[in-house]
Amino acid sequence: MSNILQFIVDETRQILLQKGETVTDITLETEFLTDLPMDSLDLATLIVSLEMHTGLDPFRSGFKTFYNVGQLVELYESIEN
Amino acid sequence: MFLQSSSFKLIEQGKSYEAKDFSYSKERRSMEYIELSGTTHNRKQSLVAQMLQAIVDGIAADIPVIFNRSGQTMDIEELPAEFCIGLFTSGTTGPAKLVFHVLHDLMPTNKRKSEAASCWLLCYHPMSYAGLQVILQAIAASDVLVADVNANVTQKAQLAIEQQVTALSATPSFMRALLLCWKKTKPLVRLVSLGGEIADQGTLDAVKLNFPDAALRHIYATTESGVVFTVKDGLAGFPKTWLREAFSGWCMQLKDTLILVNGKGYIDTGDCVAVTEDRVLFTGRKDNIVNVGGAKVNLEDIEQQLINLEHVKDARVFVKANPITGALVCAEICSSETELAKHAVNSFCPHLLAEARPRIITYCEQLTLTSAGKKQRCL
Repeated sequence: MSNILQFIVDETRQILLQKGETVTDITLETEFLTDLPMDSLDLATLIVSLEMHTGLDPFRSGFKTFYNVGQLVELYESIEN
Repeated sequence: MFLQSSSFKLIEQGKSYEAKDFSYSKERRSMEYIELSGTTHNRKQSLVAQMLQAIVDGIAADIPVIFNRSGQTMDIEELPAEFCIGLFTSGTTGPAKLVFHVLHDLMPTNKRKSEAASCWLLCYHPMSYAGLQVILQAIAASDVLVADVNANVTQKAQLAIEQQVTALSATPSFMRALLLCWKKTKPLVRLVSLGGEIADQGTLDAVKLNFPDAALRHIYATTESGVVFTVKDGLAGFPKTWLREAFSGWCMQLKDTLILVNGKGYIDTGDCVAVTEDRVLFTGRKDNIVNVGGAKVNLEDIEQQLINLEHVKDARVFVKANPITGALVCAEICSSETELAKHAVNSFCPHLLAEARPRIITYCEQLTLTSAGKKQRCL
């Protein structure tokens, strides 16, 4: 499992636990807003945490659409390389 | 008159209403005014339908109608003697204030441009100024309005697909959240109207990419001036040449912020601007009120409340930019008793509005300050 994927999974889990939600399995196919009890503020928290942790901001050049964990991992890996 | 000439249709929480469903109920004629609260109790029933009924009764009895979005205590010093609509301000710069508006001034002048009726999704709270404008717009143009005040953004996105919504009026943050919810299926949107916060180029481009055939506009308005201008060229900010023109009676001047001037005086909008070769771009608020997912949040206010907590020596509340909600509130807490401070902060934060709650909190012994010794607000 790549570092970025591990961080996304851990951080998502942490955000949900803080909300008092039960956390189910999070896979590459898991969609943030549909499959998990997350709202847009939770998703924003995840993105900001990722930036603070990795120093990477794939959205600097503009808003990009993503729905699931795998697509978000790809966004970070594309600028990491 | 208000609804009679309209073939407007409302679809709210699965129920369908037409103009003829709202007739004068007469029971309110002996009242001094009509007040409708937007809090939980009323939200169980169709709130927009209740608002329309209140307006119909208010007009017939010629008494004011007050839409009290968050159940504010009302201290009415001067109640207007005739029909008008009372709305509470967002309370950005102080306590929420009740302001009465004449229906004629609220009514949009836009008529329907095409043969087909537009189907609007109500993205704002119906008792906000912007929300009421969308409702009245749908009535004025005999359009269809889809509303569900209790639906979250994911549910609203789904509702837009189910009801085949064709027109959207939302803040850029709300629009971005909707785009994230629509995947393979999305509604065939023909009109997108953005307002309430900065419409940045990334968001405008994302809307164009998703809805290449839609008319896209972003609106600049302030509470004091109402709508000043509408930008329709799909570019962020507005053309520099507009500085030489007047819009809705207002001329624009640039200092650090955008100043609106008319014959009676001027308004400092507090909106910071940057000038490029041919555009004037908005860069943020001069004061420390930021827009988080469409809600206005006063950073210094939250900071002061944190500082007042036991074991907290100082605090810096700042925002981090992100593509989802525009800004996200974060806090740096200065304490020598970290564990005790954490406990105090964690107990306090759930009392704040979701948008105002610091999402990422760090603890330190000294705050990060700018070279001028000030607290840095934006990172």
